[in-house]
Amino acid sequence: MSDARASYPLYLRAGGAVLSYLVPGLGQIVQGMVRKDAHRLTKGVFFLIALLGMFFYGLWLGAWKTVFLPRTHPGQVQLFGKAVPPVLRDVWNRLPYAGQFWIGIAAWPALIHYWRDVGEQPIIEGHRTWLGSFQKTPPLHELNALQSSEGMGRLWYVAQAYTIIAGLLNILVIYHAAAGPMHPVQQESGGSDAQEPKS
Amino acid sequence: MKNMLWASSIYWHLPVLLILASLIYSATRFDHWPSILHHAVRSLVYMSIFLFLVFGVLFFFSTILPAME
Repeated sequence: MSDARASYPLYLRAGGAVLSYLVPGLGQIVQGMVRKDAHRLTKGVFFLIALLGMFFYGLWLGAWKTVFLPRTHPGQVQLFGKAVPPVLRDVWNRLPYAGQFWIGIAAWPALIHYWRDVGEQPIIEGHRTWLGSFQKTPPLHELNALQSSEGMGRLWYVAQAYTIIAGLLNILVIYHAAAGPMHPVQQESGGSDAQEPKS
Repeated sequence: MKNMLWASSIYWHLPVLLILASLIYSATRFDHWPSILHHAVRSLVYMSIFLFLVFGVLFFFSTILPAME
């Protein structure tokens, strides 16, 4: 570990990581405001705009049907002789959501729909009124029609890629909120901006 | 018609994704914006080279190799 990294002031590590999971960049924004660290604050704002921008652009580009988590085979799936929890089984059958999940709250409507779809009765009462069909699993025929419609085709997969990449990049942002940058500025007594180590 | 197809090509999204991914990745590695931008350009070049190599391999197996047989 370099001297700069060892002496880098870290604060609100766990809280920052949780906040950055919930809303990309929020952890860095709070850390920047608490410590009056303009670099951290501007990076947080950048993460917020860039990652949520990518995620919602991908949603919009795919006609708002690129993020969902369907319930799949009702049968039990076994791995090494042990039953796999249903939610893991369903994520396995819809792997893009494993990447999209990390964008935080923005991907939670899919989870709410997922939990609601158990049995006949909605688990979360009243959510239908405010969520509507947002991130609800579309019927297969509707998805097929969308993907084969004029002007969509492979674009739907590009749109999905935006949402997945945004989610995966937010894992780096969460780690950054908890552990700081890989190459922090060398802290020197009396000095403000010192040299950054070469990567 | 060809111009319209070019204008609406899905491949226009590739540079956008590359630039955004480079910037965000670099921002998690450095503190100051000059360093972030410098590293982002380097990441962009590395990712472009990598994607170009993957494209070359796929193009070889999908187009050149069948034409040789």
